[in-house]
Amino acid sequence: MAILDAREVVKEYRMGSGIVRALAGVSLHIEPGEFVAILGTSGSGKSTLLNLFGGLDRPTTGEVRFEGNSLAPLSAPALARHRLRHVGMVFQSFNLIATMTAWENIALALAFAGVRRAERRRRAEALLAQVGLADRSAHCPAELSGGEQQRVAIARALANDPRALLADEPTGNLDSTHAAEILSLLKAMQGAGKTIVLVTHDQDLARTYADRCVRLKDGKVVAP
Amino acid sequence: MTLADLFLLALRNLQQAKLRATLTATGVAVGVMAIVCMVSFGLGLQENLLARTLAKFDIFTTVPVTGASVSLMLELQQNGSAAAAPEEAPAGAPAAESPRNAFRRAEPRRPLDDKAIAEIEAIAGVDYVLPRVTFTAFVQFDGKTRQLGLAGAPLNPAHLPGTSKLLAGQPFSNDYARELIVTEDFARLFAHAASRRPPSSPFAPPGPELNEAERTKAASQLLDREVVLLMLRAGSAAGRGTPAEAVAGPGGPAPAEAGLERQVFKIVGVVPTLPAGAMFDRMIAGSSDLMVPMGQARLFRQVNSDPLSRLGAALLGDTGYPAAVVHVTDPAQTQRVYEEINKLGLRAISLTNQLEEVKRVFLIINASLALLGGIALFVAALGISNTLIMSITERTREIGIMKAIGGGDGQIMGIFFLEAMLIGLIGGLLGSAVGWAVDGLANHVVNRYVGGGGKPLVEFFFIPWYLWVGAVGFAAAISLVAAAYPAFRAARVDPIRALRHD
Repeated sequence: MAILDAREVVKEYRMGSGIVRALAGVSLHIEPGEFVAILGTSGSGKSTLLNLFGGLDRPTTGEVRFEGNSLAPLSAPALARHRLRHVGMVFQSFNLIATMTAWENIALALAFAGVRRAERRRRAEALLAQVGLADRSAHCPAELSGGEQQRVAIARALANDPRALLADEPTGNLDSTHAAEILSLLKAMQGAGKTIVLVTHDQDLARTYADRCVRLKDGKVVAP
Repeated sequence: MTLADLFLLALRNLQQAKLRATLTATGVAVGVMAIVCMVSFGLGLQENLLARTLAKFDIFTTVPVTGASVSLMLELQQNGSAAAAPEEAPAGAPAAESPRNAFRRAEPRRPLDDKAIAEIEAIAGVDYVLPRVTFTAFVQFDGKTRQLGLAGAPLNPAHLPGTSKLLAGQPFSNDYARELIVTEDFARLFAHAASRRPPSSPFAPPGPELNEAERTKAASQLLDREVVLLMLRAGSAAGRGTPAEAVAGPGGPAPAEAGLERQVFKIVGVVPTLPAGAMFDRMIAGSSDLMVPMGQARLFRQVNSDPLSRLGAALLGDTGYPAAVVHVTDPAQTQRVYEEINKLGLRAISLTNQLEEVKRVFLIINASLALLGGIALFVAALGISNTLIMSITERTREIGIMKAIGGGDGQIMGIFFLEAMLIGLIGGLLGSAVGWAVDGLANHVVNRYVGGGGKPLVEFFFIPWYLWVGAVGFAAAISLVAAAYPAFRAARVDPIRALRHD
């Protein structure tokens, strides 16, 4: 059974007086433990698809399933729980809370999940050690490099032990060295049993690290 | 996420914008201070009236009673129904009675004379009845003359109006003895120039602070002193005679010839001074700085009554006492005694009802004052809303991040509600503290300059514990209301758009 399954997904946005079709009938099945790269140019709909997998948005038509269960009937709180428990999201611009330290950013995700306060610090430190930032836990994002910030974001995404990591251009703001580090880290996460969905426009990186590449063009899956 | 987590997050957010949070909390503090000062002023008024004045008058065991006025008696006599008991409605009267008729029926139908007093005393549960007999006389003491109000008092010292103990001396020897019981401040009434009344308002400066032994000693010095009352001679008509001759004393022409009489009284007892503002004691119980035995008081009142009262007495006979105070043994019996007295055709006044009425009036006054203060707090609440809305705009991306990592709408709302409540609590506590300080200062200043220094006489601003708690709680509650829209707006933030927000 596919862990993430998009079936004939259409997503339209209202832009001013017109309607923009971001996804025009996308079907994609991702098996547990797979590392899938979604390629495409800007505006091809790849981030939209990732947001639908993450429950940040709902399709206009079609259906998105997680482990066989449709996300369509889920209420807003249930979708929030889906984001909290089932998937971890990583973004191009890291999206760390600037006023919190590295460990506090991770602890926030644990707090939303109801983890006890004493346990949060311990788990946050362990996750930071896992991404190679054991000595940076008390630093705020502004005191960390781009690569370090993204590693903190990955640690945060892993905080509640999700089954899938959804990474939206995680290397977009990084140089090639740091980009390779981040993708290696994601690859290692795949080795630890996580399903990885990577949205990128960098074909070389995708082919190096992903098990499978999917190309989107004008909101449709095309041949890679 | 626990409440403590939300609280810490809210606190952290406030710390991020210290100046804005401080200014908003200051707005709340001003509103709360306004409420505290306004309501404490109203409560001070209430406290002064109820606690200082009414409380000295035992309203739970006391029933003031009045009889029919002379004019009503004349009207009843003319209609030939003077003796009709009020509850005896005419046969065939409609079952539903208009409020006007009900009021008419509640009017006393008979004079409050000795017979009526005896009937009241016969009611089960009545301890004693004290008729009110007051009159005014020229009083000479220590070589000075004053026009003063006097009251009749019973032989039993425990029943003295307005007090329950003698500081010095003893009770009257009999009902017609030429004896006086005076208050310990009696001498002070003669210490000032005749044109100036001695201060008797609540704002009066206090005398020197004396301990119990000193007061007793000072009171003892008044005992056996002679006091002269100048009265019309029994049987003489007002206006006849020459008062100047009477005032001249033993050396002058015989006062009897002038139609005036000099009666020498001896001070036999001294009671504590009536408390400042003891209006009820004076008005209802008929207490005074000078008290004579009840028999003497009746004589004086009869002899010195005004022409209209004499006319009434000539037409009706005994027109009775203007009022009396019925003392009940057990507070539980007061309502029944009150009803029994009304059945006798007299009018009893329920002080507990009056007290409730007074309290209702004060409730309205305090609510109005609170409303005025509430306007300031309302403005502060708008400030809270504004602060939070600005905060949402600034933290849109942060809200989006929280939602993207699994934060629920309720948790996002909780953060904003707690931020608002913190502002309200801090402002409320600050406002209460400043209000308390302002009240204390105002009490001090007013007592110093109006009261003439010394021990504060009146607490013009009164802050009970429930005003503290209520003001802080109200500020917190208002803050939560002010946060409702911003919190809802925060919860509705679209995470995808928020994550793109700079």
